[in-house]
Amino acid sequence: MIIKKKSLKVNLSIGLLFFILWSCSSDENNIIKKNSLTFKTGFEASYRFSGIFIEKSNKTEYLYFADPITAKCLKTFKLNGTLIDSVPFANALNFIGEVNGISVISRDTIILNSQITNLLVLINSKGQCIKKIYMDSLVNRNKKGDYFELSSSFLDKKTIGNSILFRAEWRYNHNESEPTDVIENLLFFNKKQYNSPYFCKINFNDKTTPVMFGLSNFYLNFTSSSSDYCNDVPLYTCVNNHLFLHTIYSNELFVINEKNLHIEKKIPITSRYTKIGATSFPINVSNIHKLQVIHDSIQSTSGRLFNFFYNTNNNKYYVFIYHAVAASLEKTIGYKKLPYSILSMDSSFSDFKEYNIESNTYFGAFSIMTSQGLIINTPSNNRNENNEYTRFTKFEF
Amino acid sequence: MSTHVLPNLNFKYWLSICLYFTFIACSDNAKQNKIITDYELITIYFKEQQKFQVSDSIKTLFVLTDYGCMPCNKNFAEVMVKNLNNPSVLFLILAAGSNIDASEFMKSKNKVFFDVPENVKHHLFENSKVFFFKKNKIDTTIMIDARQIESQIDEINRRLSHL
Repeated sequence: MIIKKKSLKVNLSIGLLFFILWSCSSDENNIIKKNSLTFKTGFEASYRFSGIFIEKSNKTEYLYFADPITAKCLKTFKLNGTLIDSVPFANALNFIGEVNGISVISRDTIILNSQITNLLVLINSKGQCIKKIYMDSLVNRNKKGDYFELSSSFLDKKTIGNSILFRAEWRYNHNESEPTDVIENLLFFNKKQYNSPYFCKINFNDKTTPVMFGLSNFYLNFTSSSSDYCNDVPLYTCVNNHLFLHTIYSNELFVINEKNLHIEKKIPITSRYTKIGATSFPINVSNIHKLQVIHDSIQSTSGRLFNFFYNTNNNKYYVFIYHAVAASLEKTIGYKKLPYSILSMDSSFSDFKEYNIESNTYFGAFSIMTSQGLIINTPSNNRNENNEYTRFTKFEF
Repeated sequence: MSTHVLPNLNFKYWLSICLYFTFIACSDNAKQNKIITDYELITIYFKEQQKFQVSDSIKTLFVLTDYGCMPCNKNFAEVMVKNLNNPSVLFLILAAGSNIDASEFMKSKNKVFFDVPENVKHHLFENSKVFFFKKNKIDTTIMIDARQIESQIDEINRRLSHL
């Protein structure tokens, strides 16, 4: 009888162990790594200036990689690695100076916007300037006197329909005097940014109302006070005819109505590996001189949402989740190896599945959704190799 | 068949063997405990990773990373470019060319070396900084900091003018 009781306990323990292992196991076994793709870029491509577009004239899919900083050019490739165009940026840079963002609509429609100065240039595949636009005359020509600085998303797909989207940051008002006290001034500036529009949509074809501002008070969706310091890189993307936005301060994915720039839906994202979303902090006398240091620490340690894609083949969304890490990890292993997972969801934002990825090998932030599936960058530890080739591995889920 | 495996040795013989092994163990331990200076770490890195011997004639090492304040790193890179022809200065570029303009460094035939941060096994090159050497030691280190960038660049230029 004692033996029977013991065996029952053993069986129950084993069963429990199996249950725990089963319930803790991720969906990573469902990932299939397919072939690798190599592009002879001749420079170290960056996720900020890379992406994909479909040429309407021949319905062909092309990848683009640009280096506006050192190589000062953009290269277009077929998915099989064939180089199609090599576009020099010399003419464009003469006009806009430093590049903040790139949008490629077609081989002959490449849009570059400037850092800080609100300039935009349209170039063709030969690098010739087709159109030069001083966006200040459109955006900052308001009677109220508000001045906005426009910047681009770090993600691909910043256009929807005939419109291009920018993160709008309030900078100053011509008609208002600002407090001279440092803290008072920062609080004033912060409050203004809080209450000002987050987005600016420009439709250059619309002759009557080409500019629309929207999404005022965006930060109040996840902070309680306008004295909190919020500063984040713009992360928005237009996929599946929707505009998606997220920030390091929230675990929610915001679906924005692109017609009126209002929040249509908030999708909370959770991960089995990490807490998502940083906590904002109030500006006060004790931290006034180290806001940037605290902010940098938050940026490098907090769990956050990053890339967001839609796969038209299986009608699923994929969001990349960077995990919360110790402050020293980025310095130790480098930003390309920080841990992340990928969460998939169906087109109605349900049926979540999370996949853990070997972040030592695959650099998650540099990934592109192609018609053949998701491709993730496989960087080398050899700098010369990275300067010559940009390599990816194709994944199937 | 003899049962004596070991020879019949006297006390002096055993003592000398013990002393010999104690000496070997101590010297090995001393080697392991030798403190490697930061300057040596730098020279070892250049010798092993870059196949370059840092000689006494090298008085300054610039390290450019893309960690931390990016506008500061860009300002720092401009100071570096102005000193590319200085024969007593060494340059290590760890910043990606997609973040900071590295074209002038790539063109230069002088003492410019490139690497990725992951290949550096110590913490000395984690931020953009400049080392000033004196008598095979690090005399001064200036780590680029957003709050002091202007005065730091003045100080770097002042020191370089005295090389």
